[in-house]
Amino acid sequence: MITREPEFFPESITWIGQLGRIGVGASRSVGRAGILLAQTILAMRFMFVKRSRHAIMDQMYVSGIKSILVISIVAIFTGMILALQTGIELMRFNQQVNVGTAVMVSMLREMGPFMTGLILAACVGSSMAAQLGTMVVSEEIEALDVMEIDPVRFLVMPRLVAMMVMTPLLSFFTCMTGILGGGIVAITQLHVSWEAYINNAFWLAAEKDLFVGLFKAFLFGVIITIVSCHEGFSTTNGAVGVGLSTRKAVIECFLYILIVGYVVTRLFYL
Amino acid sequence: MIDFNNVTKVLGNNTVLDGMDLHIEEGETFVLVGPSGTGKSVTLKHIVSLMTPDSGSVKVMGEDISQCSKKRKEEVLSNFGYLFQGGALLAWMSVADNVALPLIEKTNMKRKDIYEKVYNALELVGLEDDGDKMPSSISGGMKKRAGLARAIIRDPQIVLYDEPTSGLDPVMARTIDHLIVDLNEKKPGMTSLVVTHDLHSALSIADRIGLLYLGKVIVDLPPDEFIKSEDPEVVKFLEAQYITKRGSWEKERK
Ligand SMILES: Nc1ncnc2c1ncn2[C@@H]1O[C@H](COP(=O)(O)OP(=O)(O)OP(=O)(O)O)[C@@H](O)[C@H]1O
Ligand SMILES: [Mg+2]
Repeated sequence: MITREPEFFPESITWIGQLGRIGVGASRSVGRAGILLAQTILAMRFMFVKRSRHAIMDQMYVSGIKSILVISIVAIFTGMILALQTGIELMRFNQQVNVGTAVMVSMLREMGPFMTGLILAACVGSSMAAQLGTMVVSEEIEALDVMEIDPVRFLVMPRLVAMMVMTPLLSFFTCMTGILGGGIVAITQLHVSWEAYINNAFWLAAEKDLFVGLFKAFLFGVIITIVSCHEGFSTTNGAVGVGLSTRKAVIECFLYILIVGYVVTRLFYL
Repeated sequence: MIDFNNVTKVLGNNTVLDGMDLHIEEGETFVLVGPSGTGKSVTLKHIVSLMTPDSGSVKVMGEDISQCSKKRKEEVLSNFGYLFQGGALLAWMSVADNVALPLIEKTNMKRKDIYEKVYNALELVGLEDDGDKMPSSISGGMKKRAGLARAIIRDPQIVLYDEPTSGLDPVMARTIDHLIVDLNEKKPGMTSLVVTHDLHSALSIADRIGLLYLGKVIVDLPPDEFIKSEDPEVVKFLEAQYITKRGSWEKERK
């Protein structure tokens, strides 16, 4: 939901009142983000209209392709760290061949979607919040309203569709790059041959791991878009407010990614 | 056409509109003047229901705009053009695309026809060479003129101008005045509400001038009488702009 009119609340004097204010504010914010999600899903019926297709393509490029470089670097090092840490332990039992499985499973299940989510929250989420926040501050959202162009359909829907597609793809890319990084460590530090590493990696990898990971990434994409757009739309107080909502967007995305990541793992693996 | 009945609006602890009454007839050019921060922009926002009154009602085309159904509201809004104080161009689109946006989104016109119309509108505001530029690389006055082109691109019935001439050089300011007058002449029945600080332009384009002060329209007179008004606020306003030659103001429109 997009709030258009500025809202004012009287100062509360006691700490109980302030605590209550925080509680009400937080639940109101979650509720509004939920309404925004529902509105955006409704607006998806315009997904295949020509002008929306262009916007979606643009957003896919901006949010997906432009983050690939950062994601690759992070993914490679994540894989290397995983391989090194588990490899050192496995070496004690002379089991370092199994490092492939360790990297593969943790990448697919957790680290792939998780790292992708964090990076996209930092790169894409922050820029969404900043961009929409600036639009609020410079009356552009109001201008869209007067022109009867629905800001949810025009701005949020293309971002959501793009992120729903790109986050799982990028997550898959992160996993594969991470395995590559792990392989480098396996060959150079652990003296495991490339064939042994790869065979071992794909030997135990289950389809379930892949699909649960992709599902997680999909959820993270939705979270990042909706949280960031909602924070952007709630911007008040000019340029200072834009900075504040950008910060809030990134923090909230991180938080929700961690919580949802845990919940999904708990649901599928216990 | 536009009727404010006893409208009150409080923002924070600041009563911006305080029992305001304002009635604008169809086909009229009404100019609203007033000191900075008295609520002129807030008044305009009430007309297109970007803000809703705390009490009282705002009626547009006989319809209470903040109460009526969504569909009816859309119908009413489709008659409006709105020039925002800062232009409010979308930052990631070129000037021409910004002006074209209402046509692309709301009509089924062909691309070629749309851009023909867009460049005609840009020519009217003197921006025919700047269509490809991005809003971030043009000046504040140019943004305002591009916003004006966007406001009038759909041939609206009612146009709301928020300070169309502030920040423009005097020559361009007069060009915009002429444009506003021309638009009204070309399209009979077109209603304009112009917010401005510029009394020169107010006196030359207005059918009526209203002075907004402390949340009310305290003076509401045709230009010839406005200039003769003895109201202390009006006198202050006129003298601040060196308009002391009372009574002999030449109207631009003959
Ligand atoms: N979003 C808002 N939140 C809080 N107060 C606001 C908001 N918008 C306007 N106001 C207050 O309402 C009053 C009127 O503002 P408005 O923008 O209508 O002034 P204005 O007459 O258009 O002035 P100017 O000529 O400088 O544009 C100001 O005192 C301002 O502080
Ligand atoms: Mg204003």
